Amino acid sequence: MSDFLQYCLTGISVGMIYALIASGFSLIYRVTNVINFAQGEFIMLGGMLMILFNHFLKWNIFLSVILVLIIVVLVAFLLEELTLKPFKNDDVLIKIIFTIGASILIRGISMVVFWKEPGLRYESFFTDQNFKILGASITLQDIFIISVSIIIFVLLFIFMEKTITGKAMRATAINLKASKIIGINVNLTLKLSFILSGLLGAIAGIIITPKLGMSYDSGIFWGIKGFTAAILGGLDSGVSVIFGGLLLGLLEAFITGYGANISFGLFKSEYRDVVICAILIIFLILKPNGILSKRSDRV
Amino acid sequence: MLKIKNLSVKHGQIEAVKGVSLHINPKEIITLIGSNGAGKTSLLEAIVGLNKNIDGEINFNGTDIIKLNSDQIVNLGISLVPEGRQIFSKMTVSDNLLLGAYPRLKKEKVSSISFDFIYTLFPILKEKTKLLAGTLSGGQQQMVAIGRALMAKPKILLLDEPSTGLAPLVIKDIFKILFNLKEQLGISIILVEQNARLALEYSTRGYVIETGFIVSEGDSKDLLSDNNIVRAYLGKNYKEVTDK
Repeated sequence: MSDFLQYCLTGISVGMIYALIASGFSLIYRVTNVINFAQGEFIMLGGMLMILFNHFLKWNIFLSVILVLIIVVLVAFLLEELTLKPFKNDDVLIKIIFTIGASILIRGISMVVFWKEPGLRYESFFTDQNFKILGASITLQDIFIISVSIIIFVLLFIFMEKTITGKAMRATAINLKASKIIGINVNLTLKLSFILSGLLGAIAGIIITPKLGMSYDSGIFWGIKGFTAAILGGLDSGVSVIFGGLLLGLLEAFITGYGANISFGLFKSEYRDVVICAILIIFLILKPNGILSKRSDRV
Repeated sequence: MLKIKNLSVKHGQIEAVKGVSLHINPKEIITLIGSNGAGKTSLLEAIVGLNKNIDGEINFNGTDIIKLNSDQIVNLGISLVPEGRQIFSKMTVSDNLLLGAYPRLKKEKVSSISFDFIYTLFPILKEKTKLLAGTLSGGQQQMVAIGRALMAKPKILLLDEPSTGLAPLVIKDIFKILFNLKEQLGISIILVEQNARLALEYSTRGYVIETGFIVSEGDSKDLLSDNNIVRAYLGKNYKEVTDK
């Protein structure tokens, strides 16, 4: 029982990060139909810049967080400005390939600017103190990750559902042409979707780095995980990607935890990512709209 | 009020509208009739700035709007009810209407936006205000689309085939409401309609478009009694007319 609870806690903590990343994918996808494969680089930049500012330059942690958020949002802004905007009338596939190119570029620059060692960290607000809940242990950092993520999702929900700018973004996502017709400045909403998803990515990177570490090439890892989460839940809704993120986190935790037991030791935890990628492929073939997808339109 | 001179509209290499000139006066309903692919929709989309591959002159109350973006054009007071309604199906009826007022929100607060006028016009929408617009019937969805366009307080309303897929009785209702709108608010309406007979009955003047050119124009009454037009576009009863 305590094992089960332990795996749940671990799964939820990482799952929240996946959900943050998946939300970034979904925000951009819904408004532009583009899968932004540079999404993972926002997480990497969030983590690496924190390490640079806070750990190496010894700047105040709050100052560092604010600077990191500003820089990553700027990168997201430039990504839209330089790669997607000039090609706005071109095929979606071209834009997707541009995001792949941008991600390679960002990784290359990061390799030069940052360090090549894997698993760098910065000291978080919290000590490594453990709490015991029914025999399972959870660190303060995990609690922090979970609560920050929940707050972000609530804020995001309020923004998208209650504010006029959020509604305009959803409208752009539902019907681009109609949004132009009623006078929404579509260029602005497109830009905003990139800025928001940059922000989500940066936050994910900042809060996960003290727990799992970060290196210049981690972006691709987080990108794939976040993409898988988004596909599991369904890319076209804000709630379903959060579900997808949690599901992926729990799946991973259980596969790692129980995998060895049920396969008499044949299964090693290193195979976890193989299983996850297999699940991604199966979903892309059988249910590309995600578990929670449904069609409700009436024409 | 709106004057279009020598307007050409291109879709890639294809020229859909070739040098069209037309005008509309205040408090006037005009109809554009023409077969599929004649260029009617292209013309309307060009007026509201959806297609920038255009050449010519579009003058609205003395301002040249040909280079403006669609949000600026809506701001000036031209709203389009697009073909196929194009409502935001996954949003509520009230959100659809609220977004229609989006251009006004630069000057007004969200809390000061009232839907009362739309709900008096279409009482059924008041009952459905919290429902997702995609779940409404075709006629109600058309009301949402018209309501959304009216929320911008336009001076000219462009309607692209408002009767598509609707029952004849519903169509009549909507036309009556549109006609009253012109009387009450004094707005002008440009109507593109497959049901040409009905459209001409409600409008003051009409233009006939064929393959991107205006081939005929005049008072709606005259167009309704023009044998060539009756035969080509009004269909029904054509034998009576031609056998005379």
